Amino acid sequence: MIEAYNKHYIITDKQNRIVFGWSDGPHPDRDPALAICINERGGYQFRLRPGGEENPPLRTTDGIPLYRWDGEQAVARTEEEIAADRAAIPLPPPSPQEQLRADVDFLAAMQGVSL
Amino acid sequence: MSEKNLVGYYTSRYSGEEIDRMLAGFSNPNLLDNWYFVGGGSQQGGGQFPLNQRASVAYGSGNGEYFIDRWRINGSCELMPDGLLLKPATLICQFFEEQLKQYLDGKLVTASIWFEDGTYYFGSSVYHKASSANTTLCSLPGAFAALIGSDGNFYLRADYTSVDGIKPGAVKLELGSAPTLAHQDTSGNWVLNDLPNYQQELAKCQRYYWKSDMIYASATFYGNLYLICNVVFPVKMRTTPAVAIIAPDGTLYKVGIWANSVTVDLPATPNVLNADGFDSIYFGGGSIDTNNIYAFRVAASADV
Repeated sequence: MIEAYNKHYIITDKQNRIVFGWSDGPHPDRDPALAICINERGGYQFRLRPGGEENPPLRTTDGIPLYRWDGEQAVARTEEEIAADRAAIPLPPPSPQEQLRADVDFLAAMQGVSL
Repeated sequence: MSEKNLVGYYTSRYSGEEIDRMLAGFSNPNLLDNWYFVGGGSQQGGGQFPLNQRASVAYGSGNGEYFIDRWRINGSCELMPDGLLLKPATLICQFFEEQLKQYLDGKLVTASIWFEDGTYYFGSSVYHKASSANTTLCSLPGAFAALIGSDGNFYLRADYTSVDGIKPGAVKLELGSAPTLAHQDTSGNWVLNDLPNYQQELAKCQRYYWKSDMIYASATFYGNLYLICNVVFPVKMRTTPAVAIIAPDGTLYKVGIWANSVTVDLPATPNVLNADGFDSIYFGGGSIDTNNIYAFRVAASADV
């Protein structure tokens, strides 16, 4: 019979937050060199834990990791931890439109014009 | 036999040949997807079978990789105009979802195999979703066997003793004891009852795997880390798929710049992903230039 087992991997950052995960079933070419193998006898699709959701989201929509690795298993991060990460994200630089608007506002203010 | 015992006995007004003719076109649904192997493969672009989104014409694997849509392989094969050539000692398999296994458990099923030279084999047995041994449904010793594995999945094996392998043209698994893949025409040749519908088979296969053509996304970003692209899968997939973003030059997990074909050296992963699609691509390793249009392909797998 065809052996149905696949290896499941995660990548963590310096704070042990899980930033990526995959199964070598659909992704046989992905390099596992820097990854942690969390299941050597998993199914074809990636799961954080046996019987869990297939290919679960690992980040919020704005890119903040939802889980951390405690050395043995994936643990859901708390709302407070996620909020703290969100607060620490630097504001993106102003877009060209925002920059232009700021310039126009500045020139208008210099001339005493209200827009 | 007494006259009483004959009560309820029905004598058809039709002859056996007439009944055969009337039932000739009757066909049960096929429990297998992508079951018609004649045509050389869909990678030719003209609606040919079998569905082959991975697009190679020859496959070899020792660990059960997916090859043509929905099928896994141990061994090697080639897509030929008159069938799928399975080399000796090659095993192909279609994995079933749990709910289908549950439904079939304990029921009688029939497998049939048709070859384009007009030969036809079939056989029945009770399906078990898990058992200690494989269940052979039909076989031709020295050539092939069709079986339900101990894991409840469907297998077709070319025997290691078969000299040139086998080249099946179509295969069917159905409920009940009657094989309805083919019938004999007036000359005695076995001909298929039905040809598959290409769009229907494609949709069934794309529930498990989808490989896109080139997708272009212009520079709309959120914080320079995301490329908004709103990719919608053609069919709702079985589950949230594993997605690979592929640059135009074939580099995995990258996008390319449309204007100059340069591949952007940042890891590209889908964001806000579910069984319907994803809304953006996330570049975890840094920001990208907002002045470009980007190009990429998508390979999404929700295979079992």
